[in-house]
Amino acid sequence: MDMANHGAGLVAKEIKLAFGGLQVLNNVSVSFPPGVITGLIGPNGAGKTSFFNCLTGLYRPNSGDISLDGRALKGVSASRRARLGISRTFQHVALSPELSVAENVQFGLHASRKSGLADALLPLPSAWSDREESRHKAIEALSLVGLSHLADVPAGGVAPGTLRLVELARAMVGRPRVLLLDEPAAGLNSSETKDLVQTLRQIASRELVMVVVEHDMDLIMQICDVINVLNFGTLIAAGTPAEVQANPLVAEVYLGAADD
Amino acid sequence: MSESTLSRTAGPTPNAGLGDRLTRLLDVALLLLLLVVPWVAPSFWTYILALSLANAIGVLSVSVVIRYAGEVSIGQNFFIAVGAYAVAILQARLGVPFPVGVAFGTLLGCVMGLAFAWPSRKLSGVYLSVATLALGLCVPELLLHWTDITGGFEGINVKPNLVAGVPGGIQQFYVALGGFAIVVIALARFRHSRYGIALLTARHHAKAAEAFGMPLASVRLLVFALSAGIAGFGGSILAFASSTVSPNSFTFWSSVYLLVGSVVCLYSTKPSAAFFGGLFITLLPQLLSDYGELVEIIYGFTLFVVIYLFNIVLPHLQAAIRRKQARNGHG
Ligand SMILES: Nc1ncnc2c1ncn2[C@@H]1O[C@H](COP(=O)(O)OP(=O)(O)OP(=O)(O)O)[C@@H](O)[C@H]1O
Ligand SMILES: [Mg+2]
Repeated sequence: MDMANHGAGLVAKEIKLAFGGLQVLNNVSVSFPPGVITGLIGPNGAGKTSFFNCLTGLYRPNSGDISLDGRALKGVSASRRARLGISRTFQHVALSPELSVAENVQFGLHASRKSGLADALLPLPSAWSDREESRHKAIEALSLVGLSHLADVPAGGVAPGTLRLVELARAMVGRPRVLLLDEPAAGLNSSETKDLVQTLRQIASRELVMVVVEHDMDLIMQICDVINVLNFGTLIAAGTPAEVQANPLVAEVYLGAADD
Repeated sequence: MSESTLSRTAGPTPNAGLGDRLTRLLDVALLLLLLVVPWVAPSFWTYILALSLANAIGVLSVSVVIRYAGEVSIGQNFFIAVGAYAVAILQARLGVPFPVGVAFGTLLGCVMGLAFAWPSRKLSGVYLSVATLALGLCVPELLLHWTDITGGFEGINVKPNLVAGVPGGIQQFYVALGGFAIVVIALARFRHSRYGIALLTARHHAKAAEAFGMPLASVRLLVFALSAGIAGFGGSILAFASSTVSPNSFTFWSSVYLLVGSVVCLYSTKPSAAFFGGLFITLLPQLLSDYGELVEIIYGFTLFVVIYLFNIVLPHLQAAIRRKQARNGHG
């Protein structure tokens, strides 16, 4: 991996997060380099989503540092992080049922679009080109997940499994630097999951930092180069899929539990 | 994606396009009808319709908050008074022409909206509504406090002097119609703008909106700037269309009536619906002027019926129809 050319990626150092007396993240240090698909696994309640929320700025960790390509993100709001290229999907589909599928995807471009309020209200020519361009990009992203034919359907009338792919399109449309996927395969059937794996491989690139949280072990083992295992807020293992699978500690807390 | 995925995906309902086309037809028909009103209707009705259009702008300012933020404002009379008095004071005291007054009233409304939204940007639900209530309640007191400029109880007359030689009633009507058209067109554009998209996402998933660059504070500021700007604009138009401003026209109750107007048109920002909302709250008090408090009772009853119908009865019916369709589909 030619890391020098593509920056350090997303690095978290000694992240601690607590809600009241509940220690959700305990000294978690991980780095997510570009060009690598990193898996983040762990049992329910291990703190995976909370960790994503810390990375995206929705939660503020009690201590620890997060940096993107060497730039410290402390005090940087979630919105600013979006502008820096950190993008994500949500464990529970978070689209607007009132918007069309394409409009939902266009929202992924919000942080990078420049058109102002005047453009929003008045029939200015600059607004047209901005709208055309953002719709064009949205449909491109939808094609990538095989859904461009649903562009103008209200999202409220689309099946939940399909909406997960719309969320993926929204997260990708702005060509992010960092893509955090929270259980992208939840609710998908096996053929949809197969398509998803293909799509994820397609969008993986040497510049992209991709992190996947997922309970579907087949998917994780298939696509991840590196896997980190979280248990009760503590990182208990990290390595290649084979290493993680062979790790007795992991088998005990996670894989073993899944076999029961 | 595989075919099986597609077939399970609900497509657009077949008659959605037809419904859209029908409402658009209705909008155009309404516009054409309104255009000829001053030439065919008695001047009393021209006046009533001008007021309805001005009130419809106020209704839209309420609907914007409900549609785009899921919040209820009952302090719109404040921003409407700002716009109305801006026009009246500038004309009466400084001889400023009406278009400048409108621009100033709209801008001042916007600024007031931001000034209100900034401290209350973290409030939601009942707390936000109560904050807007406080805003609405103070209007008459403020107007009566600065009697020197506001004209006190008497208020100020606004002369329809936009185009010399054209009868006042006709000027008032077309200004109201033009103002209404500007607002509905701007709102139609806004819905598909990146801010419209951002607000409608934030309404359902505030955290997702924040993660993509639209934090809740921005949502509040934007919605209130927009709504208060529309209210200020509507107030300016109302001042011109009614040829007078006085504290009585901008009590807290006028905000409640605007809310009634917004509810009866189902918070729609579409032209025909918003016009109906404005017409409803303008016409009813006129028609029932001999019956006093009956107006309030009818308002209350209508609110109850509309809310009951659309939040309880209709969803019930829809669910029943869907169940029936599902049974037929499997049978
Ligand atoms: N905002 C919050 N307030 C209080 N507790 C929270 C909050 N967010 C998360 N938690 C708690 O933190 C712990 C970790 O939750 P989190 O959602 O991060 O787990 P997870 O690994 O994503 O689990 P799952 O696999 O079920 O999605 C849980 O005990 C949860 O209740
Ligand atoms: Mg989770």
